[in-house]
Amino acid sequence: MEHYLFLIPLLPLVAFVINLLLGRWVVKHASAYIAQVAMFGSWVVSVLVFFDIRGSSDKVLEQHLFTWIPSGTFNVPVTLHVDQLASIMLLVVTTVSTLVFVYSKGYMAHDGGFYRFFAYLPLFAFSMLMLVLANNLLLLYVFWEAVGLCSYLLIGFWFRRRSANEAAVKAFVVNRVGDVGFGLGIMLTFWTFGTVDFYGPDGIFAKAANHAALGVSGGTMTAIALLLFLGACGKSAQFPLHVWLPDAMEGPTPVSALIHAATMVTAGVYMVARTHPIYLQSESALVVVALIGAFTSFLAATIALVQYDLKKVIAYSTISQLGYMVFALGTGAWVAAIFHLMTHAFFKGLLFLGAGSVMHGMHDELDMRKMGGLRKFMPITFWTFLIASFANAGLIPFAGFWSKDEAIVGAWASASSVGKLAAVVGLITAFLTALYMFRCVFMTFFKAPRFNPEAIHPHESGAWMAVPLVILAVPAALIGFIGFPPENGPFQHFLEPVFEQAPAQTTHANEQASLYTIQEPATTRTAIAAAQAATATETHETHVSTATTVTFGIISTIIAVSGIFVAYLTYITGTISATAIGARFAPLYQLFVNKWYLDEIYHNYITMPFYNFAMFLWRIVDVKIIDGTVNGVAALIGAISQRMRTVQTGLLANYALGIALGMVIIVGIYLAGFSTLFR
Amino acid sequence: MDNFPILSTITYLPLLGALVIFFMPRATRETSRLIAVVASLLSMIASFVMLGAFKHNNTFQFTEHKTWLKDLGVSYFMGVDGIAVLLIVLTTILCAISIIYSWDTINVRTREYYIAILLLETGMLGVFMSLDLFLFYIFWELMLIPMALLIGIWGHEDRVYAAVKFFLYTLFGSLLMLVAIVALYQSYYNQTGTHTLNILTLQGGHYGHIFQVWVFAAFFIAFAVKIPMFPVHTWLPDAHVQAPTAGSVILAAVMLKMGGYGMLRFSLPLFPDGTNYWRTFVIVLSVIAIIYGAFLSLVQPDWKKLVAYSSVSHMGFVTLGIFIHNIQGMDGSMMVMLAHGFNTGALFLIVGIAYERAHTLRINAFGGLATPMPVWSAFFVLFMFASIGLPGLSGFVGEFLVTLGTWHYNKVAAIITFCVVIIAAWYLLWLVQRVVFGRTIHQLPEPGDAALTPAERAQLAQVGDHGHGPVPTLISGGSHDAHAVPAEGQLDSTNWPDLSLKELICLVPLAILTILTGVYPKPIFDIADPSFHAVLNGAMRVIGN
Repeated sequence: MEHYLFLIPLLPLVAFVINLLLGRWVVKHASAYIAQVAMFGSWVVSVLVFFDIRGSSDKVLEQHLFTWIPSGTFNVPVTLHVDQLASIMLLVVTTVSTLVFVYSKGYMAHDGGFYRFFAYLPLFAFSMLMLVLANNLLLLYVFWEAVGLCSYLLIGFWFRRRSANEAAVKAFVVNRVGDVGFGLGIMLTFWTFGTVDFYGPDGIFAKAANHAALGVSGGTMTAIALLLFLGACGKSAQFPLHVWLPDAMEGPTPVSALIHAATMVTAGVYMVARTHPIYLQSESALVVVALIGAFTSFLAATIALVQYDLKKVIAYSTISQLGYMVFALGTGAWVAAIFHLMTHAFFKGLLFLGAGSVMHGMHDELDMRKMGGLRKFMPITFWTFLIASFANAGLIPFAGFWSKDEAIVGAWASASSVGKLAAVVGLITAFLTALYMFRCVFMTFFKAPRFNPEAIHPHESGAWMAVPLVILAVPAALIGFIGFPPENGPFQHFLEPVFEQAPAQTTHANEQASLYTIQEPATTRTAIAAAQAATATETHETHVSTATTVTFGIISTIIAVSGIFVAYLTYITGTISATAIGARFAPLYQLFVNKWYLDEIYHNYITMPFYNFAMFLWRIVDVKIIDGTVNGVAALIGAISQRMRTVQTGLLANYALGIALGMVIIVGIYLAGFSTLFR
Repeated sequence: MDNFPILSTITYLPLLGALVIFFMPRATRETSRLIAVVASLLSMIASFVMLGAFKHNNTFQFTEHKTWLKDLGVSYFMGVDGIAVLLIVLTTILCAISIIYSWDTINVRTREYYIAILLLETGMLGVFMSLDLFLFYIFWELMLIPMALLIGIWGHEDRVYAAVKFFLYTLFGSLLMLVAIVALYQSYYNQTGTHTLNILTLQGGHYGHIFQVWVFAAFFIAFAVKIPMFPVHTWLPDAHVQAPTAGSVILAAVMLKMGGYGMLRFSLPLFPDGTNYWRTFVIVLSVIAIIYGAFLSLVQPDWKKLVAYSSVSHMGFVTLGIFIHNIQGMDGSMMVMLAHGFNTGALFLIVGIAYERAHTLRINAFGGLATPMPVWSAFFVLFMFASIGLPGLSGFVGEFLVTLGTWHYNKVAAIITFCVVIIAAWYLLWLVQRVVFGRTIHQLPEPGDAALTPAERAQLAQVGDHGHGPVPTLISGGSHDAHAVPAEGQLDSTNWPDLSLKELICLVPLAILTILTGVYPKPIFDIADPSFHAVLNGAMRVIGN
């Protein structure tokens, strides 16, 4: 399979080039088929790669393409690398992409920018797949920015809308803040370890695990980890850089599903999981990661509670769920984070596609207050949306339950000092999640319609859109079972080689082993075994007792059900009045409605001061001081010349006088100073 | 090939073209532009031949050495190393593109125009090839006058002020350099008793510390004005705004590189002590320039000024990379110079194309150009992203390498420098948002727009009531209605044509180059690295094939 890895990103790239260059004039509406076929091909190769990897326990595939930057010792190759983690990501990305491409054919059918849309989408798929396949930090960064570019292009897809343009610029610039951290992290990594390659005995993972022996301080490891995490905060929309994601909903809904829910926003989670050997070396960095994740999950859930825009609710829900993944990472529950990443990709993608279907049937209405009763008009959308909502709310046995529970249990049982805190926040957020999710379901699909049935005729979407909904509903409901029994399912075992084998310590063991070999071969095996045992105990997540797992399963089920029940009481029976509660806790309500005032704070205390400072530099420093000086000198010389020109009288006698006087002065000076005549 | 004077061929083909135009008394606009295009294209092809024959080592190649003024030690001495070779190819490509772009945009004094621009090309090429200071200085001054004329005669409203400012600023630097050259000449004579202006020979001299500090400063001011560096940059925005498009392209893409090239060729090898003495000062100024240029770009209401200030920011990377004194910095500064040549050159073409249609450079006169000019918009977005350093396009490699090298020198400087990519994204994306996106004045507001002003809402409602035209649905593209009210100051761009064939011919090569050097920059490293290592090691260079 190794020699065919390049096909996975190449196929979407080819589709992009064809649709971009020929889409407008030649390909036109066939551009959708080109993109779909390419994406499907990419999916097939990814599946083959997956089975190839599965064949043996710790197999990896690698394909070197070319050398990108050779600058002294800073050598960056373009090499594709697939291990278990990457192959899971490949499957998730290609599956969701293929389904979204199919869906988009229906959703974008009447759009004037049809070919443009089907050029950008494969470009995104290409970038995302390369991001997953990268074997070094800088290459990952390259495609990290490239997916940001696609995000920018697709958020601003309807370029005549000012709101869409502003959202696109905001997304790119806010992400750039994170990217600066990421980039600086790469530089620090390079000057610390002398390489940006991940793997191998000279790779950063091996060296990170061995950093003490290399004379690298723990502080440096923390700095690297936190700088990289700043990047992850941008891309995966974590506090304080999460503000771009809700605005990103200006893009067409398939984009929200694919990029801003299922794949691109999980890149940060993937990156932290990929570089976990670095994070393992820094206790404090992990604590920061866990706290940020837990706080973000809570913050976003509170905002989701009070939004009326259907897509915004789901967007905040995405931020919140990403927070779960991030605190799972921060507490060392790596597998749980990836597990939740995968289930989330399916059910959140499905939620967005369902929302798109609602918009399609409702003439682009997004305000849930103007919906209601849609379940009769669009049954397929309703049932698939309901399944995804159950999964998002974490109800047993839907996919989200297993992965979310594993994240919470993982946090609780971890050795991390903030593990218990994160788990509790996770449980509280789980209640909020169930509440806002079913607030959304009840307001949209239940009770009497609140729109004017005369003007709007909601209808079920066509096959291009309905089929992907149904297909996605299957994994959204069932994929959790690959992680069953919890902590010990096929999924966990598949990922074991990535997370439970610390590469560097193996190297270390090998070094020891080679030392022992000289003395006594018999001890070698014992030494390796001992080293590996030590490795296992060090990095293996603390073993979780079945009792804990079951207890947490019961607790979170109760929480989810009670969340749904509260939503039912509020939005179906009306027993609880949302307005009354809003009035009772007015300050809190205002805080949530205004998104914790973060946009205003950023605008007033960051954007505007910078802008005004730039204005000051231009008007005062550049124009007044620097150019003022330059022009002042010129004016001064001009003025002096003006005075001097009166000397030029044009009268021969005056000139003769001048010459004579000059002669006298020069000769006088000469005689006085340099001649010996009078001495 | 061994004895063929390829360098002189490249240099004097444009001059030959200029002479032909000059001596054809009846040369019309048509013939003179044809001659200019042919001359510049031939020169470009010759430079490709040179690039192909260039051997990847640190020697000076294709040398031509003829004694000229024997008693003064002046000789006609040309030769190129890996640094010069790349900049020469950049020059010939961008000059050819500029001359092609002028095809139908210059309509007054066309003969004189092409003579000036061809002389300019000869001057610039000569600067990159001269290995004799006398020759170097002649070429250095030769390019000054045609450029000032291009701005002063074929420029916009305030052209004379800008031309004089450009001329005086540069002349001020040049004269300091002349003094420094004479001092260097004298010093070497005092040491060895030989008169020479041969750069390679002069490198063998031993110059005192104080001498180096002062002579370095004189040279440096000349180069700093040219590049231009904060705080001697204020001629650049004026010159750019007033220059005709082709002038702006050549100015940004090639002439600014003279400064960087001069530092690499003279400052570092000749005055190692002087370099060490001034190093921190130069680095601080570079970092200031990077940030300062970016901030000023943010608030410019004039499109060309915005791009001009962004040049100040980019050129800060070049000086920073040269003076942090490691291979990543050197490689990075070369990549920035090339990338800036492609991207900023292209951005000035993009501006020029819009100016041809709008006859203004105010940013707020534009809006929604993606509708009438989609292909132009696509190129604009491409070069904009290349300019803000999106990986995979040319701008990224250089900026990243310079910052990487800077990190090794000083972490704080690297952090400040790298933060500029946020501001760069801010001002350029904002520019594109205002110019390319949004709506033209005949397009109705989008009902799906969440940021409609009350006036726009009223306008939509009114149109809906009266039933004029279809209420636009969620379609990106044009639906027109005569009742739409123009936004303030915005021009009617409805009938502006998209790119013409000539404009495509100018932009496509640059687009290919910017993608190619972004994706596969390795050949550039292969060519330039040996020479950079020589500069870094202070090694004496010899003459190759």
